[in-house]
Amino acid sequence: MKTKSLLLAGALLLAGCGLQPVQPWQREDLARPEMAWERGLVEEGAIRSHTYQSKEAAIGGPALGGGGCGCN
Amino acid sequence: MRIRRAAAWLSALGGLLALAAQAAPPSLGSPAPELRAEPLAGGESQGLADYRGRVVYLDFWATWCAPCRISLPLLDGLRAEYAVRGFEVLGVSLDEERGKALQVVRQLGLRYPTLAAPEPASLLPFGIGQMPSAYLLDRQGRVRYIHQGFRRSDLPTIRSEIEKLLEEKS
Amino acid sequence: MSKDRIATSPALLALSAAAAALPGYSGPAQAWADESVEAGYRYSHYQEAALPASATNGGPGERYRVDSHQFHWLQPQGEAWDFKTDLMLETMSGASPWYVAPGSGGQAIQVLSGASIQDRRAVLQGRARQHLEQGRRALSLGISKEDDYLAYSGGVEAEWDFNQRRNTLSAGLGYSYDQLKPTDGGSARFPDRIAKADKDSFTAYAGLSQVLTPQTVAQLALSYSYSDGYLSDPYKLAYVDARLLPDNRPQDRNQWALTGRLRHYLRSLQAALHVDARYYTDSWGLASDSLEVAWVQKLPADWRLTPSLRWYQQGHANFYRPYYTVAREDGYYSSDYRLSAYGALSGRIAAEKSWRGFSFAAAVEAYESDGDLALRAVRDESPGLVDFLVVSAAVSYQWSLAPPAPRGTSTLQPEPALPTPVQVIPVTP
Repeated sequence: MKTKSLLLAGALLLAGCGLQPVQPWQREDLARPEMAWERGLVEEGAIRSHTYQSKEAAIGGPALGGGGCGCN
Repeated sequence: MRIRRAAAWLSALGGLLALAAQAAPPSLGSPAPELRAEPLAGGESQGLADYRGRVVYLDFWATWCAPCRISLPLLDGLRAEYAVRGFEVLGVSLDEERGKALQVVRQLGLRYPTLAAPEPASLLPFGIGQMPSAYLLDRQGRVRYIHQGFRRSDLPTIRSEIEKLLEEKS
Repeated sequence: MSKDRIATSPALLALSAAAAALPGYSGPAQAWADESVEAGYRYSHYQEAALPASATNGGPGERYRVDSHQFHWLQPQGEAWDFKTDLMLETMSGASPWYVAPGSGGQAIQVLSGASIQDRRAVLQGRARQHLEQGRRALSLGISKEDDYLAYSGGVEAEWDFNQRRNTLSAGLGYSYDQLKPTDGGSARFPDRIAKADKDSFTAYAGLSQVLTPQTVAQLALSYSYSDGYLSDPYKLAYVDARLLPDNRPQDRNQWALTGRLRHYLRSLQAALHVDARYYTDSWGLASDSLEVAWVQKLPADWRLTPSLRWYQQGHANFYRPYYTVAREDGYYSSDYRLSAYGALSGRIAAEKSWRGFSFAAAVEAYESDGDLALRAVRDESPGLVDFLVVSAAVSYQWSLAPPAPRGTSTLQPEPALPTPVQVIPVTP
């Protein structure tokens, strides 16, 4: 299992080095709204993670949440 | 088990290490890199040499770039203001679809020349760091000022750089 | 947006609409420049499925429902600042899991709180953000209030774009102070229920994103949280050797999460593939994995359809049991299904339509949890696992604050006859 993870990491690293750097003028597709980290209108991500957090044990991610809740 | 799983997740990090050497922008005072492209509307290809003798604001833009959309009408205004003193804006659309760019140019009524995307290899020496990127060339075709990105509040700076070059004797 | 601009610069409008679809979104493509105000409202209805009679020993299995109203306002100030305000009002009602007791055959039976809970929650959050040449920084403050709960939170976040915006480094620090005053705490009816308690939580995260190809961007982030104080559930009890004791968890908790996100655009299909994955582990011996895959399909006439599938699984906290036949030495007890081992699968579909400055969206999500969806076989499945359905609808409106383009530059006039540059006689000094 450990060897497998290491091999996978190595393969990905090589794949990464083989990539051409993406030039600023090549980012039309990256600029599309469909490509945003967060989807949906009106803080859709906020209420979805609030819902999951109040029903599951796990928390955390690349953003700060608000305060806690006494969710039952 | 937990450590193994964490290792599996961490291995994804490998994919993120795609770093490569960059082309740096031309140093100030050096001649602008060679650039040839057709005008958006079609016709004979043009090069920077065709604009020698004028102060040129060489602007790389694209239709999908939000700050570019703010800059275009403002650049057209600058051009209208300084053309008599020997100033020109030369737009270079880096859109893949030429038609899209032409449509925007026509709808905005831009009066300065705009070229279609040149060969990607000829763009590299410009070291374009972001969209839009602009290079202010003096009457001898030397890069004297580089402006990356665009905000409305950048206009006074750009204006003073243009005026400085216009005042220089060629 | 003045009528004048609509009449004179349709191209500019078309551009703004595309770029304004995500106000403030900077991403790896370009420098930020969005000057649109966005106002929005979302309604969500959350409904938990009733528990089967077998899990509640025939008692009423009706559970929780929540109605949420979210109000959203994003106000740019000049080119460098924007201010975001979000208000959420929720009403919650229904019964929630109280304790678990062994049935006649030893099977775990979920006992729900008898009386229907009625609670309201109001959350106000504000964020001031500054856009810099090479990134963004933001300050957030929030307050969350319920009849029996009060939380103050605040945080700072920063993002730094480098390597020609191929990479963005992001980091944040947050703090929350939460105060609980459980209903009937310390009363004659519930003498064991605490009257008042509080906790502090600190959060830190750091992430790195990388543009991999002209159609692919990925991000990896690590987050850490430390909570200190009352971390138990004042309304829950644990069945311990024929006695009912208050839910009692450790006074502190360390939580780590490693998150990976990937966005890939498929040109030929005009669709984006989103993959979000997370590995989580904490000092209570609980680990979890989650994986979400979404397909954002662009459709004609400014429609967008997004089906998504999310899988989640967790192991149990080391002190969790559905019920306890012997007392624990450390005195920690919790039969909360949220600390049990299980897996969950949810499917969601969202539709979005843009029309002029408006965007409309509707979504439905069905969530089902089950011991069989976990990575490893679950021995003591909690009888209180939750299944729920969320239906939501949202509308938002955007309008530009940008000053109209200078006169004479954006009118739809015929292109003036331009001399070609080679014909122009250079202005000689």
